[in-house]
Amino acid sequence: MTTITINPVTRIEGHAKITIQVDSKGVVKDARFHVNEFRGFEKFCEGRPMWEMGGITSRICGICPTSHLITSAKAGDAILAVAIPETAGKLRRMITLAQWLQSHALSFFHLSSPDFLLGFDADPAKRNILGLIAHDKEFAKRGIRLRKYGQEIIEVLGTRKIHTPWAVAGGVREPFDPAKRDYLLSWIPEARDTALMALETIKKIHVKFQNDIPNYGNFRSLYVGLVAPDGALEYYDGRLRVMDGAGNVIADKIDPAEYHEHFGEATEDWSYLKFPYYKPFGYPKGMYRVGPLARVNICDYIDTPLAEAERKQFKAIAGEAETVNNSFYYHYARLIEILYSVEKIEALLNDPAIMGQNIRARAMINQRHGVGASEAPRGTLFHDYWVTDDGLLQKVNLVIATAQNNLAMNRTVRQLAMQYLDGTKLSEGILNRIEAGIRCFDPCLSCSTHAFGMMPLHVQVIDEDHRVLSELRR
Amino acid sequence: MKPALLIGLGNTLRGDDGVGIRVAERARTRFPELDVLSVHGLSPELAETVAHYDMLMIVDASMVTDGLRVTDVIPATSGEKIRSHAMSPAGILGLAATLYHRVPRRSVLIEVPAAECDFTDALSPRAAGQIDACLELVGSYLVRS
Repeated sequence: MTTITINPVTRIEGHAKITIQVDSKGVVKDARFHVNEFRGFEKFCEGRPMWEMGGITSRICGICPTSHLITSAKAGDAILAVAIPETAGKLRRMITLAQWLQSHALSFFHLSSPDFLLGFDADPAKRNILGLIAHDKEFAKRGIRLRKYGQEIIEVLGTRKIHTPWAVAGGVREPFDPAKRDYLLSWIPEARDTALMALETIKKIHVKFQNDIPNYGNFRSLYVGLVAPDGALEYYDGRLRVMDGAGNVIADKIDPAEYHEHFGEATEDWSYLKFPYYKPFGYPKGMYRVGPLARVNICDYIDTPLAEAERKQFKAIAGEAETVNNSFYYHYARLIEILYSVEKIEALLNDPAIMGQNIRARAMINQRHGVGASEAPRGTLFHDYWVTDDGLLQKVNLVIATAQNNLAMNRTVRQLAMQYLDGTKLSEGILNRIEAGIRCFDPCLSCSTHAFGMMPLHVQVIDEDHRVLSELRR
Repeated sequence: MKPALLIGLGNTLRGDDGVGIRVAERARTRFPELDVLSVHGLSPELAETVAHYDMLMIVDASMVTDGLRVTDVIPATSGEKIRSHAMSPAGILGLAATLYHRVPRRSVLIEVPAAECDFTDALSPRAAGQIDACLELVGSYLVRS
């Protein structure tokens, strides 16, 4: 047996590697997506006041800090046992959408588009953001502007772009500054145009890569996410829905606070990332996907007109099936969510309720246990806290979106390796296709440290005796 | 063009990784004429921001230097130095030059020696002991600019 190692995977958040095991005839037997770095935040939080959790958990990640902040605040709401003011809820919704906007823009325009617009076989020295600029400067620039719009909203609401302690148990700290409304509204036409332009681009990409796409994580699985009470796409509240790969709703209206009764977390000795699964189906049959592909699949409709029109086109991809099962369409779903976010942000900015001054419900600790859930850019995020009567954290469990896609990411890697790898002959194109399969999910690993220095891509071919047969760095 | 921007990089919950942020916090009060940003990592939209400055200082933790180390940053012209989720200082300048046709007249990366990047909000004596010297260095660049 020979093992090929791709370490680390580039252009995703955090550090990971891929190993592909092939037999003496060069036939792929297995492939695994490993996460190398241990996340210690749950232990780090124990013993700290519950009130600090927003500031702490928002530092888990530089890409989606707002999602952790909002979900943490919702767990705090549950511990206080309060219903937060309407204004606070709407402001939290707006900042959640801004998080989607900036994170999805980074994923599509700058992490994945170099593959699509320059080609999987392009020189890796050019297949990056500078190469993208050389290819289509306006496209790259518009992606940056879209991401910046999301950041601007987060800064206006939260008073800073990252690690904002703005959302708290019971509501938010600061009301919306009415002087900023027109400024944020002024971005809407450009943001909408960019979203529509990107959607046109992805449709051309679907045609360009029509022979590749069927190999990108194309399998049936379960899909999980929040939906609104009326079945609409939801991102902040709602109940959990579980749909199978044939489009059947197999569980619905699950209270997110009871997630642990429905979902388990398995571990494997070769990865630090947990392997969540749907308990009634067992491990690993209970594999499910979360995030844009899941959300757009499981909702009955989207309550904004342009995004709903796109959702109908998206669903048409499935043909007779009701569920789009190909992971490549994460990108399409992601862009639909960008468009939805722009439409929804515009509606919220025009809603007089966001100007209210009643923004925080205050209470003491009323529950010793609280769960918060929201839809982070990459999928459903749970924060589960146990506290003392004084509000000191006794136990913390964070179920992150990327982990919930872990089984599906591994299956995707295996499918791609089996399709493209011929013996032990590595090429940039093969490696990048496998990495691109992972990037469909836009995984966010433990991107919590940033000491200067960057690991290069390191590929090793190793034989049964662990001898390095060949090596590739880039 | 605005005079000078300092960007502090890092995560204050990962020990010495946050020393860049600590320097930025101190610089904000000590040098009122200096614009200061604290960020978790360098992301593409910062290219537009830095393009408006005459002088750029980026302060980051480093596990590979024993003392304060200053390096002039030249805009990247090759994609090799740019990875979108954690862009390098040269990458940000390369983006600024390509997209906005402007870069600071001078850009420096100031690396502060780091010893531990574990889960703690405290700095090691090694990193903490360099903050004052780093601020002196920042001040000297402001005088020159």
